[in-house]
Amino acid sequence: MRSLIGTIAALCLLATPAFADCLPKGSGLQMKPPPQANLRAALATTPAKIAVGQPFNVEIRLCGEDVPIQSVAIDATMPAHRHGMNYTPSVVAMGEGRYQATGMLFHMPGRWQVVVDVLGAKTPTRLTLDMDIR
Amino acid sequence: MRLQKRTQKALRLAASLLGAVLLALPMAPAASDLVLTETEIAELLQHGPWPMQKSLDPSNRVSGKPEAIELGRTLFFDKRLSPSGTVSCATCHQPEKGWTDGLPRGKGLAQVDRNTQPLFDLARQRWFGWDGRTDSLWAHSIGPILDPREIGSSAGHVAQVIGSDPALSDGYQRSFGYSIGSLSADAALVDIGKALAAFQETITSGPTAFDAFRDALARGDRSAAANYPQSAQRGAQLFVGRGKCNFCHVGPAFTNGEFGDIGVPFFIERGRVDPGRQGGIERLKASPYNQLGPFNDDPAKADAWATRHVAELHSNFGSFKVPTLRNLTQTAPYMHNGSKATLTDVVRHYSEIDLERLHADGERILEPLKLTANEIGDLVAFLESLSAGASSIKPK
Repeated sequence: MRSLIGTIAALCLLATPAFADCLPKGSGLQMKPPPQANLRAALATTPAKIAVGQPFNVEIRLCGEDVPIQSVAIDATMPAHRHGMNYTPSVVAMGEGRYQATGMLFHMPGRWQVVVDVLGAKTPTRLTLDMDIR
Repeated sequence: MRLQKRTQKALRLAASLLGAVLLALPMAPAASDLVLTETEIAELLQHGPWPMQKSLDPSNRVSGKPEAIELGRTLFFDKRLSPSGTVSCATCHQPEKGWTDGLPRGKGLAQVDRNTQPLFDLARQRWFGWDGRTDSLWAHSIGPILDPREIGSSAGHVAQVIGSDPALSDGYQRSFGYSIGSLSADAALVDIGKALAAFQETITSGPTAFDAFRDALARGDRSAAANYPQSAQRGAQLFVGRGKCNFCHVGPAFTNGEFGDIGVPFFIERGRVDPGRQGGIERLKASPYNQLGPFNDDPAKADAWATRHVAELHSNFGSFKVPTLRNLTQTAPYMHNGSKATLTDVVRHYSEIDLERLHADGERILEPLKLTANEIGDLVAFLESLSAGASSIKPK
C-alpha cells in the first residue's frame, strides 16, 4: 500500500513541470497562465490594499519562459461592466524577471480582471488575474 | 369606605395623567429602528470618516503658506483683476451659495457653457473642471482669469494691478520671496494661480448628519445611529444597493474623481456640442501649466502620473466629472449643464434614464431604476443628509 502511494506521489511530481513553482516566495498573487504555457507570473501591488479611485503600482514577477522576453504589457478591465481603466499603464523592466508597472487605477468597486501580455520569441502569452475590489 | 373610593379615584387620575405625559414625550430611538443590513452598513462605513486628512500640494510651493493664503483670499474677491472692474472669482463662486452662483450655467462677463462647480474640499483632487482640463488647482485657477467670458483679463493686467497696489505687492513679495516686477507677467500669472489655489485649498465642508450616523455605526453605537431618519436610511439602502450609486460616488467625498456618461444631453445649443472629457484631455495635454510642465514645483513630479497615463478613449466624449455629493442642498442646480433644478429631478433622471443617450460602449451599470414616489423621497432624504448647511463650508 505504502509503495503504491509512493508511486502515485512520484508520478504526480513528475507530472508537475519544474516551472510551476519557479516564482520566488513572496512574489505576490499568482496569475492564471494559458494551458500548456511554461510562463508563470505573479503580481504585488503598492499599496498592498487597492483603494477605489486611487492609483497604485504593480510589480510583476515572471519565470519559466525559456526565451528572452521582448516586452511586457499590463491592462485591466471590468468584464461585467464592459469597460477598462481610464489610464494606460507603462511597464519598465527591472531585471531578473521583475517588471514595474505604473499608471494603474481602478475607478469602480467590483471584479477587475488584470491582464499581462508577455511577448517572448514566439507567440504572445496572456496571463490573467481576477481581483475583487471594494 | 368613602376614603378608599376617593383614593382609588385619585390614583386612576394620576395614572391617566402619567400616561398622557409619557405619550407626549418624544420617543427615544431604539437600536431596532435601524433598517440596514450588515452588508449595507459595511458599504456605508466606506463613506467616512469625515473630514479627510489632506496633504499640501507638492506642485505648488506656496500651498499651505499663510502669506499666500491671505494674498489668494484678497485676489479672489478683487474685481480689479477684471479690466472692466466688474468681475472677480467670487462673482461665480459666492460663499453664501456654497461657492457657486445658483445659475444653470455660470455667467461672468458672459454666459459660459457649464454649471459653476463649488469650491469646497478641492485640495489634492486629481482633476479639475467638469472635463478635467487641468491637473492642479493652481492651473485651474489661471483659466477663468484669461477666459473672455469670465474675468476676461490678461497676465499683463493682473501684474499691473498687483504691482500698483502697495498692499498686494507686499503680499506677493512675502508669499514668493521676490517682487512681482522682477519676472515676466506670464510667470507672475502662474504665481497668482498658486496663491489663489492656496486660498481655495482652505475651503472645507464640515461633518453632516450622515457623518454622525456613519460614525455611530463605526463605533457600534446602534442606538445613536438610530437617530438618523428612517427615510434617509432607506435612501442609503438604495444608494448602496439597487441604485449602484456608490459605484461612482465612492468613499468619504462621494466621488471616484473620474468621469462618466450618465445620459445628460451634451448639446449646448443648436449646432454646438460639449465634448466633455475628450475636450478636457486635449486641453490638458496642450497646456503649459500641466503637471508635466516647467511650472510644477515638485522635482519628483509625483502627481504627474495621471496626465502621463491618462487614456484617450472613445467613451470620453460626453463624459463629465463625477461630482461630490456633499452639500448638494447648497449647490443647485445640478449636472454639468445645470439642467436639473432639484435633487428630486436628479433622482428622477436616474429612475427614468434614457439608455439611448448613453454611449454604445459606455458603462453597463446604468439602467432605469423605476423608483416609486416614496423611494425617490427616501433617496432625496439620504442626499440631503450629506449637507450641513452653508455655514459649515468655509475657509479655515
